[in-house]
Amino acid sequence: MRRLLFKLSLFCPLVVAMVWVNWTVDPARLFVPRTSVLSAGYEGAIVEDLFAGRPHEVSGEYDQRVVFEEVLRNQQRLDVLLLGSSVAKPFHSGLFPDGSFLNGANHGGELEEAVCAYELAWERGFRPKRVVIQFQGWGRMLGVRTNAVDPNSEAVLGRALRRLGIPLQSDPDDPLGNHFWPIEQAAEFKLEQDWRWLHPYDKLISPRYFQMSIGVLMRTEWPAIQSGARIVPETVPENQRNVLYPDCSVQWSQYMRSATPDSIRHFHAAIFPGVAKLEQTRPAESRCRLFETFVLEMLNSGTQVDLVLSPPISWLAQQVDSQYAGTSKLSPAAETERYLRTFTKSHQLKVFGSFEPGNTDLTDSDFVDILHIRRESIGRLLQPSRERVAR
Amino acid sequence: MQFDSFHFLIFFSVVAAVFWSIPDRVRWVLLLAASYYFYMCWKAPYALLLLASTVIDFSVGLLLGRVSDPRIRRRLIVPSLAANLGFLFYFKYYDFTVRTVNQIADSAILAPMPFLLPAGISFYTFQTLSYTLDVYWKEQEPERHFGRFATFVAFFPHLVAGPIMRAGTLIPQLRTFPPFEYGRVTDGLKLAGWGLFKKVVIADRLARLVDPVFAYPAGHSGCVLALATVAFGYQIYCDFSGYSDIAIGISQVLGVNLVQNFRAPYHSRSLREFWTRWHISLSTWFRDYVYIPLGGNRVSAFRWCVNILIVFGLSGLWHGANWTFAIWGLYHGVLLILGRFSTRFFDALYRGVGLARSRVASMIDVASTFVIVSVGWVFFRSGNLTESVAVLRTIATDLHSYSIIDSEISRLLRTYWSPADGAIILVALAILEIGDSLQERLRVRSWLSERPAVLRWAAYYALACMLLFWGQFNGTPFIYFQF
Repeated sequence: MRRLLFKLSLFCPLVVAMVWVNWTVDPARLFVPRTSVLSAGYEGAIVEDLFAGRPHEVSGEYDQRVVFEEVLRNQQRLDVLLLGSSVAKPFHSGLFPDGSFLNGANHGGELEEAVCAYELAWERGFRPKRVVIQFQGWGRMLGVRTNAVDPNSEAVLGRALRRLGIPLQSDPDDPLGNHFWPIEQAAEFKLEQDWRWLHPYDKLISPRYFQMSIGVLMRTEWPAIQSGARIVPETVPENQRNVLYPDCSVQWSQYMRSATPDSIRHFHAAIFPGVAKLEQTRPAESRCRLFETFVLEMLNSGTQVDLVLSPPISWLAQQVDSQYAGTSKLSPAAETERYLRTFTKSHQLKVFGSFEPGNTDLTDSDFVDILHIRRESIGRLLQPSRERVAR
Repeated sequence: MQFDSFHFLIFFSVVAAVFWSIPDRVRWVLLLAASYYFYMCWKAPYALLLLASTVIDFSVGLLLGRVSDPRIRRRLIVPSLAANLGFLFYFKYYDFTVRTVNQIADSAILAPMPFLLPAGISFYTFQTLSYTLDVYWKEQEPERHFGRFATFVAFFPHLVAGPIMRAGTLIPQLRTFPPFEYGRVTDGLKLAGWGLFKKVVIADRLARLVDPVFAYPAGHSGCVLALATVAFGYQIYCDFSGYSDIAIGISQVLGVNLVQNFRAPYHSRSLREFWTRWHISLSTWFRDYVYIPLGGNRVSAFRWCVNILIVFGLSGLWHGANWTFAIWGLYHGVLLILGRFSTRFFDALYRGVGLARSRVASMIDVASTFVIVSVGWVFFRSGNLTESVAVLRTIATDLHSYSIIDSEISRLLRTYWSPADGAIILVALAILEIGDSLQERLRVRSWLSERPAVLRWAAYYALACMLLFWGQFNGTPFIYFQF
């Protein structure tokens, strides 16, 4: 037995090397104070480009909130703040010419992420004149929460909830407890979710985190590879990957933009989820309460709040309709739209777009997948709203 | 809890450490508790099903041991067969039956089952069935110790995806465990490491290519579909044999020997040989409990053909409740029959062209068997029969895509993989093939143990580094978990 333990201990250098790389590179910035983001890591490389006014071709996983926080730190003014899901990422400053614009939307589209983004701006002393919140009928901004909050965001969310006067007790609509987690990282660390009590120190011995660290090292520390990973604005249309602009808006990759309505339909036909998943997107009471409190607080601060409802591609809307055809229930999207329109009407808020594709100026060719809209087309959602009728 | 998870690493380390620290007579208690914990990590209530199956078969076994009247024995075995096959039917085939009936009736006259398929039900059901049948046929003494029997059924290394063990092989090993032996433990760890390599470096990386292609086959050319089919062949081999290697390896660490489940199946020179090398524990199960009771090959040629089709049809359906699996099984059955009747023709052909018993003939046989098996994988992997046929048709008719294979591969690498993925897979597959070839000639692990320490540790470190740098630790479940 002693001999076996001795032989196994000969693998220790490998484990120590992994721990050391994970600790020092730390691509998700789990082990360093937030103030030192520019000192190392992939977020630092992104922020460096954005501060220099250069778009950045996204070539790996990054913590969106860290980048947003750093961009806020560098911001002189903030007149228009956009919140929402990844669908809203292509909204850019060109569509809001009246003032300084920042896109605070997050991949994953949870309401709590939007609250956190606003809270970060508020804490930096910004009082935007206008906040635009994007919703998608398919998303879970108001539905049952299924992703956990990154522990690093918990503090921000806690401060926001305290300011909004929302108690921090457990949420009946939240099966994971009072936590959420940025969706990109949730996928990365799916294996290790059972070990949340160790967080973030379980990442020190995570091979997945090690591979991310090595990827970051290759991009940021080795100049030859680094220069290959950067881009100059002129080459943007040719990019194979998403491009992040200084206003935190996104241009989708060449691959996504090459999608056609037919290819989108064929690709997604095989993975269309059933009613059970759709039902999770139906408005949940506690999240509606959070949304209403959040909006009313902004209105009380003198901020103009507008809503943008982004539709899915028409094929998906038809699929959803067919799931609810012949039942007495409204589809979750229709119920969400009805709820939002009732709320906005009573508080005289502007609503743009609709979850019903036919009620917008978008066509199927404006989509890069079933939900996401081309940067060139997303402005059409901001056309003056026709009187929309929820299905 | 997956074998390639951090959770399992901690779990197994604790179990192994405690196992070798406690007296021999109570080790089965630890293994039983650990096995139920392992199973309950997936869905705790389903452990009751495992327990029910255990209690029924243990009781029936005891009763069969006390009764000698053949009529009463026949009556006694009925509850065991009914319970085991009933559970299996309800949880695995009920939805399939409902779908088929509703499709035929063109309306929803039957409601689907509201439960998930219990993990490993096909494996532990076949294991308990074999025990009861062995006791019934008096080939096995009934086990009188309930705890030991329950450990035999639930033994965690092979509980959810085999190898399917026989009572006569496993239960005696659970009575007395061998003393701690350094060589045996390290041998087991090496095998588990090799299995992990197959799973996380090869199978899970290939899955990133195979899954999107088969999710939308209509959007891909014949050449890409052919590549994805071959990739799936390697994916499923590495996934399942990787699981088996880990199961056998960690059992060995605990002093228990499980049967070999794979023996370089893609080196087979005929379909018949393939089935002696692929999922060996299932093939031998069907041989002993279905094929031989049906008369085996001591029957007329026609009856033999029927027997083969029954065995392979059932084997296909064992894999999954879908017509694609049934067709996959029957496809193998039909080709096995054709193979038997065409052997003489091919022997004569090889003799005629002067290739009899030559290396070239052997290579042709291996290649043609690989192609035949790969065609079968299309049925296995596709979502439905229409899709399987469409995939095969595109592979066979879209000849233009083969002439632009370079651009097709580069498009594939750009879309689902990166060039690095392609390079890693080529290196990893080369290592796999070398490993499989060497294993046929010598026992690689023993051979390695006899090399100088520097060489040995270089090999161990190379394997560990490949796992660390190339492993896909994204929680992809083992394919055979769904069966």
